Amino acid sequence: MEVNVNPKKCPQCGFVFGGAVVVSDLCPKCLLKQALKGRPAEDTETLWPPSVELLAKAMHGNGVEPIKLIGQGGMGAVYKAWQWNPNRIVALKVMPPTAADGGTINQRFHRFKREARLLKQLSHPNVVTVHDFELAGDFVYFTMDLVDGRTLREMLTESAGPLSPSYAFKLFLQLCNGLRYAHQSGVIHRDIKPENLLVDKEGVLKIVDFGIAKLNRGGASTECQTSDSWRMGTLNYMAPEQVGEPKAVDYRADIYSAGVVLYEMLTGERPLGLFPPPPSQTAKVDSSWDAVLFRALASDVARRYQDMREFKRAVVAALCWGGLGHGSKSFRDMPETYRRAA
Amino acid sequence: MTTSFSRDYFPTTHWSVINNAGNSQSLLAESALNELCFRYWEPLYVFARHGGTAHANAEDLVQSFFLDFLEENYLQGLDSKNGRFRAFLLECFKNHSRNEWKRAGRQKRGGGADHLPLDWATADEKFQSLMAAETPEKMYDRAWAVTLLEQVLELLGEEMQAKGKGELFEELKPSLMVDRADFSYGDAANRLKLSEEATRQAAKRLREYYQKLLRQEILKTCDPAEVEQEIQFLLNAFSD
Repeated sequence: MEVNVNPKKCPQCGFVFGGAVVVSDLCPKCLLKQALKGRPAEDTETLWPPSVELLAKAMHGNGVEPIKLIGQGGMGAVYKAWQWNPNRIVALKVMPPTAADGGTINQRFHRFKREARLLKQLSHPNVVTVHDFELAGDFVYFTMDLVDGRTLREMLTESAGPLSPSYAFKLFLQLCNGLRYAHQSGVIHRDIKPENLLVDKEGVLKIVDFGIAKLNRGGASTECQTSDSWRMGTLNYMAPEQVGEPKAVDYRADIYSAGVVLYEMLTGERPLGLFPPPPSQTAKVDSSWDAVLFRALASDVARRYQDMREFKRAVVAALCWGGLGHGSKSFRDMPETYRRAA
Repeated sequence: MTTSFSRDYFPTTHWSVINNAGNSQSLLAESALNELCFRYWEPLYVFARHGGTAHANAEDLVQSFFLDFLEENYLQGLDSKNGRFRAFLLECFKNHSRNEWKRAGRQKRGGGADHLPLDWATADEKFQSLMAAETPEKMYDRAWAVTLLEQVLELLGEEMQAKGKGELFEELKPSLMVDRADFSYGDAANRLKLSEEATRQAAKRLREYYQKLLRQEILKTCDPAEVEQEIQFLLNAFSD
């Protein structure tokens, strides 16, 4: 490349610059001054995620003190925080300022309050416990248990392929238990995917973000699908009715998403397209898994498993008979160990 | 109760998240670190050149640094005191340079088939045009600021283009410089076939969007609380 070092003097500040320093033919010094001059009011619209200081100011009086930012994404920013009463370290999740439906923070808070009460009542080893759901200044936030672990997504990335069927089964049973409990308590997750499944150091799977998808999407509106905060990764796990008729979504949408997660754990791939390949063709699993997964992934909700217990039993049966090579598929014929697991 | 949240619960390239990853050897944190390195390699080259390294040697030095950097787990040496990514990267590079000089006489590293696809010619051009700064560190900071501004303006241009406002962006771009007295809104309005008031409003919105994008980009390299300080620091790098 030809070197071009014609020095230029900025007519505004007198700074001499040239060559590649001409940032789109503009003076870098004046561009930085412009940035400083227009320092935005530190609000959630202009600077996301909010700084620990700003958040601490907003939360003053709420008994929660953010310590540091530990993660952020479309569904919110997560901080490690100290809760004063009771004294404990918690995860503080602050929601993005704008919902996909453009609703105000107040509207969203009040719309979600009833569901949040249900969330706070959830107490299960496979569900991350939510402590509080509150409004502080311009922020809607949750406090919840802090989990030391990895996401299933990270585990899948590390394995660069399927998990062993027995390990996938172990994790899936826990997912079934957590989801079944939540469904019985009247809460739908709406966004089951590997990013929302944490596995702690003891191997306990914990589901996070129950119902938060609804809060962020402003009442299950389809607008979410084009929103910036809505990542394509999520769409891959979404039941067809969540796209077509979002208001008609019930707990069976979670069954579909759990099916996608299981398919991915077993094959290392997501069931993309109208006719995804049977798992037994792409992974070393018995063909008995094919029928189980395709039923979970049925587009017609009526043909899907109708609850998590039914799904779990089918998985246990597939593991049992597929693994042992028995012909019968009856639950009652299953060895006691598997029956207990189901 | 356990005391740390899953590090990669949310994929992010924010430096604070990378920094907090500490010894977790998280894959996502590493990949975010790599992404930041590839964005900001040019200032390192400028630093090496101003420190008296010849063109070809500076290439080798940066090349070998990144090969080491991407191979080794630099995250292991991190703690919350490490501050901004800009300073962290320079410190790592200085260490690497010292080690490389010690190895002088041995086979040069960075050669061979593993070369990274970096545009040395552009970096060298940048080096020549930044000759005015007195120390290699200041050169590095200036090159950093220029790299940052280039990325922000490129992103701004792309987003305006995507909104069908490419022409508006090109016309109003000069108004991004602060106190631009010689910018005529009347002339720009005529060319854009808008009223002068509408043009002024559009320029105001463009400036606001630019300010927001710049902060978002800086946020990827330092703690949220340090963003304003970092802008001021980069501005100071241009003072004589």
